[in-house]
Amino acid sequence: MKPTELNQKGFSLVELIAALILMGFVGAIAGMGIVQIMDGFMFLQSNTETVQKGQIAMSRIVKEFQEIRYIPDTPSPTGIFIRYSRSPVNPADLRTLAYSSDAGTLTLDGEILVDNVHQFSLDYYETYDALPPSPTDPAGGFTENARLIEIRLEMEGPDSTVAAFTNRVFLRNLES
Amino acid sequence: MKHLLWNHTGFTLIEMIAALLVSAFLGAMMFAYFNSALNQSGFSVHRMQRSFELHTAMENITSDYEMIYGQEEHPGWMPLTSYAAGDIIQATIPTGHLYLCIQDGTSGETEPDWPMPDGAEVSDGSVTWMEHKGELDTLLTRLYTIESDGSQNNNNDINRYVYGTYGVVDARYIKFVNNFEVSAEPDGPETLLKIIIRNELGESLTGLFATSY
Repeated sequence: MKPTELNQKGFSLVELIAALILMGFVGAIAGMGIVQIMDGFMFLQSNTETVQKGQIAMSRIVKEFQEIRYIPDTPSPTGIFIRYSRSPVNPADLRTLAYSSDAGTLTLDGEILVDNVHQFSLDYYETYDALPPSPTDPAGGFTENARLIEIRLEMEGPDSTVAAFTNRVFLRNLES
Repeated sequence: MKHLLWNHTGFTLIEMIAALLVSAFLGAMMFAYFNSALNQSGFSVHRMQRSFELHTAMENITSDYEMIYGQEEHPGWMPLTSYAAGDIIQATIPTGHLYLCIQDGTSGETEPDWPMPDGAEVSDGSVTWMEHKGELDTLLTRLYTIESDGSQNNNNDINRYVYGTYGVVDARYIKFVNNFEVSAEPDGPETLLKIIIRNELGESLTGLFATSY
């Protein structure tokens, strides 16, 4: 009886090349998928950071504005600047919120509250149903009877995206 | 006897197709799972925008409430006091209503029995009082007033109202009895207007509005 023997021939060159080409195709497709997935994760991470920064900044601004008791006549508030006092006893204890479009920063008393700000504006309303001020009005529609401030904060996100947030604050503590 | 040799026939077509299908299925599942990061990345921005929208609506309601009810302190009724037309007072024991003087004169020695219905009048000495903007009905009416341009979202009852974009979960008069919330008549002195609004994501915001008269 002839002994059991294994096929000793192995793969041919053509078989190997075909296998390599196939693996190359599969690898390329999988690689593209993985790159896209990683891009997605990186985008998500950056986006989450943008949202968190925007949320923290907006929360702080809302808290600041809710406590406003006094707004001095000079300098009068504008669409990107407001000086105010939250102190019930000392109207001279002033704070300043200002936006610098050149630096893309929003500052509170000179300290950076948030950076990477694409656009920031303050619009002032006397009543909830008042018409919005003209976009070209540098004062943002401010009058001495303004009781509502609409805050618009646009944050620069990843891949040149912009996340826009709008909120309103009623000046409940403003002393008329 | 036949020799034992390796099978040289390779995979069959069925086996190849089955293997391809399984690998494609697994690949598609993995891609869909991981790719959700990209698809859902904008959701956090969307959620925050809707959340601020709700906050904006409540601030609008609060500002309107302050404009209508909260700006002035109204004096309580006084006996034998001269009043002029246009004066507004509140009862010494709050009724949930204000009273407008529509006839000049001097009040009587005892406080009149204050009327509750809208616009009801009562004589007091030589003064005539008229019930004046009691309750918080104006707020409640505007809460349900659709924006004048008539546009509606029609998305899970979320609409564009004059106060903003929201859905009304609850809006009714309540009061607290022994620390429990119970429904109340709109014209009671201790009545609160409870408003709960929500956005399309299910987040809700509650506001309580009271009068001091």
